[in-house]
Amino acid sequence: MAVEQANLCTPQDAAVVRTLRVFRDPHVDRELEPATVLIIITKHVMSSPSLNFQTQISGLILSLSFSGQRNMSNSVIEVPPKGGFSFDLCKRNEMLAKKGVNPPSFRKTGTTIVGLVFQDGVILGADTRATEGPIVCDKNCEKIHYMAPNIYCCGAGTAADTEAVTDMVSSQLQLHRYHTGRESRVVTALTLLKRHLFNYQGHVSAALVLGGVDVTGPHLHTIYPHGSTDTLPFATMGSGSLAAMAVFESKYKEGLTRNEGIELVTEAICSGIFNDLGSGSNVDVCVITKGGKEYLRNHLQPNPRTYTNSKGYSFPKKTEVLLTKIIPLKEKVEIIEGGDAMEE
Amino acid sequence: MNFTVSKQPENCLLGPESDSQRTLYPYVTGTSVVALKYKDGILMAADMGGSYGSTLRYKNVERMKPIGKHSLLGASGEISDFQEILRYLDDLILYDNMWDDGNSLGPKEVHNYLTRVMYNRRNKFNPLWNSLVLGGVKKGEKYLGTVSMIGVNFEDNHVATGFGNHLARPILRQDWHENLSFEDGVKLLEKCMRVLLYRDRSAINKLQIAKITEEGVTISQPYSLKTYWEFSAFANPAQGAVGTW
Repeated sequence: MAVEQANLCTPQDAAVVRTLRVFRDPHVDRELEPATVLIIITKHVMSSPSLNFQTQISGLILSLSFSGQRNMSNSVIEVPPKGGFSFDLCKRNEMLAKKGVNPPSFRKTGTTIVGLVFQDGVILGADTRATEGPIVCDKNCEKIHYMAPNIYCCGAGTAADTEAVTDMVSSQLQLHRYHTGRESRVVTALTLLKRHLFNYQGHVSAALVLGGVDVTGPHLHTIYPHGSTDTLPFATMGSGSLAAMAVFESKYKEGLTRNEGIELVTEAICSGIFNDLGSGSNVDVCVITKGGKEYLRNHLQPNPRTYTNSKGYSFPKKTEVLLTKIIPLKEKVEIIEGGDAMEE
Repeated sequence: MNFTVSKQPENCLLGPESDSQRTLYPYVTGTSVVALKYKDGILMAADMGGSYGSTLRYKNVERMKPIGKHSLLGASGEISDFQEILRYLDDLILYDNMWDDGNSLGPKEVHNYLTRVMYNRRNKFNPLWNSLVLGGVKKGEKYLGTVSMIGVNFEDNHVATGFGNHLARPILRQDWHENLSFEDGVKLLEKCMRVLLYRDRSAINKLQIAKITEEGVTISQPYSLKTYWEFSAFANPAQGAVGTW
């Protein structure tokens, strides 16, 4: 094993080697995995701040990596997988980030999503822009996700997280409906979502506005990535939430009619679209009442493409064709008809 | 063993720092200021709170002051830096008055002076931790501008600092128009301040509205806004979903 071969100059290094020797399992005849050695060495490095030690260890690690690659195939520890995330690589990621190697950025839906309770039910609204850092990667994405025939959910945050989480809970609700034979309730979806998100301690970056109408009445909830929830008559989430909330706080009143509600939701989303850089394009609205739901996709399109020529663009021919001459290619190989050479 | 603790990161270019006193963080802060142009001049609103971190320490801080004959200055951010700026402006106006030439500094000039001061301080890494709003009328011309602590300055029909940028500006963009009357202007400002009161944790319900016209500056007495908390859904939010909040 390369550990023994490394140059050890200080007593701390000797201490590391001693730990490694002890850690090697005497009952199983296999070599120490490089990853294990790395963890032990890192632990020692973290606890002793002397500079000398660190430079020695980097040499140690280099020699380790070479031998490790040859031995990787036959040393796999059989451990049953535990649920949830494994946070083993967090220290490594921190170290890399300090050196300037950052992980790739996720596709986020820098967003404005809103929900509103009106006379007969719930209205949800969302913009349609999905961003990847500073770039708009989808000009017309769908942020209002289906959960149940009477429950819809808007999602802000990392697009993959909101999609996956709403899909998952939607299928769980369907199974529950088969099991109970009843219409799904909004609190069921709420509890399933918040339990899942809390389990992942905020790493599943999904901020949701959940709304629906069930036997107990219309409900509107917000769910934060860490798993906390609020029950509100009007709610906004996403980067444009302040702009939308400004509209709601100044214009909301109780007992709104359907058209008033749709207008207010549209106004709030437009406020987000025009005042927040993370939101843009069109307005999606979903109206849920006891009778059913109405999904108004692209209810308002305040950002049309201007200056497009309806007849298409005809580029003027700039080069005149003076002469057309066709020269057949010369045959280099003679083709014999009915060649059976290949078939034997 | 080395006992002196350096606050600088390793690759800092700031030089020896043992006894310099640059502003690193604000202590007593004021929250947003909102202002707009109306028919006769400028209307500006600010509340009277001075927060010390998360405590509401001072409830009688006047964050808007008249400058000379033609301008009105509102500030958010560090209160002590605002008082320092008032001293600078005092000297400036005094110097201008000493000339006694019948001409006086207008809002555009004061705004330019403030921009230079703020930008120069930022370049020395010792900023005045304020976002300023400067409004005024001179010879019938209305002027409304803003300067931030890093020296970003611009002029517009309606401006806001701090949280006002996120909560009040969208409302102003929708509802502002040329030649607002005084009453409409005050109503619009109150609408913005009410949303800020609901949604900014450092806002308090004690505000002043200041008006500057060709005639001069009037800063109103402190008063409070009416707020509405009686939405039935807020009375028992979890009645439909027992166990949540």
